[in-house]
Amino acid sequence: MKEKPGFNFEKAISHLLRFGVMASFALLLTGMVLILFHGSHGRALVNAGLLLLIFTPIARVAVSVFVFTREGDRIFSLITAFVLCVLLASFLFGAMA
Amino acid sequence: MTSLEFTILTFAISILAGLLGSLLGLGGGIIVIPALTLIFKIDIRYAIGASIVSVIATSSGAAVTYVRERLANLRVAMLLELATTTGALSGAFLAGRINTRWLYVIFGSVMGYSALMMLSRRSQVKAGASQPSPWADYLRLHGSYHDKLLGREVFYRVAGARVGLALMYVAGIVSGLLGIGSGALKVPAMDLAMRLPIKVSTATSNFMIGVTAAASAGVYFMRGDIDPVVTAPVAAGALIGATLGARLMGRLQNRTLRVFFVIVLLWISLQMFFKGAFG
Repeated sequence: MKEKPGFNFEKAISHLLRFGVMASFALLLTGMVLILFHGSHGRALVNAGLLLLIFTPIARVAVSVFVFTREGDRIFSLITAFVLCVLLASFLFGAMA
Repeated sequence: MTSLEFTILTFAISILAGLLGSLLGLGGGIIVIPALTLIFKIDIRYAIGASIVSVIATSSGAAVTYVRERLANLRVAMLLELATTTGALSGAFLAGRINTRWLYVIFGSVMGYSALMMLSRRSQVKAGASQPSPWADYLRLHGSYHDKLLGREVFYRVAGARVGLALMYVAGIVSGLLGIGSGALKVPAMDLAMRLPIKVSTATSNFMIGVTAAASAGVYFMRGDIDPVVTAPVAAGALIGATLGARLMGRLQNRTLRVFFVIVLLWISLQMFFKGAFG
């Protein structure tokens, strides 16, 4: 794909995912330990880790929309924007149901 | 069973689920849900909630490696996600309005048939389309990856973009309706209709399932169907397993992966068929 010199789309997505994965793992592990040993805020930490994990793929789609738009890839910016909309619609649909 | 025992056991089983799922492009739900409901007697709603989160964990955990190594074809994935996400939404609308027993029988049979078709491809040396693929050309879907075992860059052309989209829409509906992970339908579609190399099919499927699961997970979370005590070890274990699995992928022969996938797919198809036929 057309790229600015030095920008690697695959690497950027991989880094984004790695951040989400490692941060949520840290929250999950800490929260689990707290829950097991009756510390406070264990459940809150776990929930934060789970939300971060759930949000990571969505962030990936959002970043893709941004990158494709910036690169002038009209078709794929539309495709990914549409996917993002469907994802958001699913959340709304689920919230109402 | 104490909380500690439950946590450690669940964590271990989830590592296995993440390992398997990441290699095969599946979500790992086929291990997690039975383990939680049958062994630990967890309520099915919480089991499904945990399973959906484990799919996201498996997907994201492995994708870190698959995306960087270009095993997952991002353009193909994002194109197909158009179809899987709208399919999943359609499936959610249809839930409760369709008699699902026939669907279990039909898709169990389709999966079984696909498994056999995939097996017959194992002797093909070269993946990739030889026929012209206008959509794939226009959308620049073709790609390559470095196969560590073969020690060279594998170039492949993508075929059947339109058929792939149609199949992905169906896979999305099926997963929305029947609650199964759609990886079991995605991989055969990419392998047979789009002619991708097997490692690209499983890695791309793995990349895609996270997005589909994220939509459901949001709903489950807001409904309170995701229990932190149950889900935390499942998610954490799946993350570890998927990270390991993605690293292991480089050592697997294509043929081994294909046969392994076919066996698991046959197992899933039998389960579905019997579930539909005999309840």
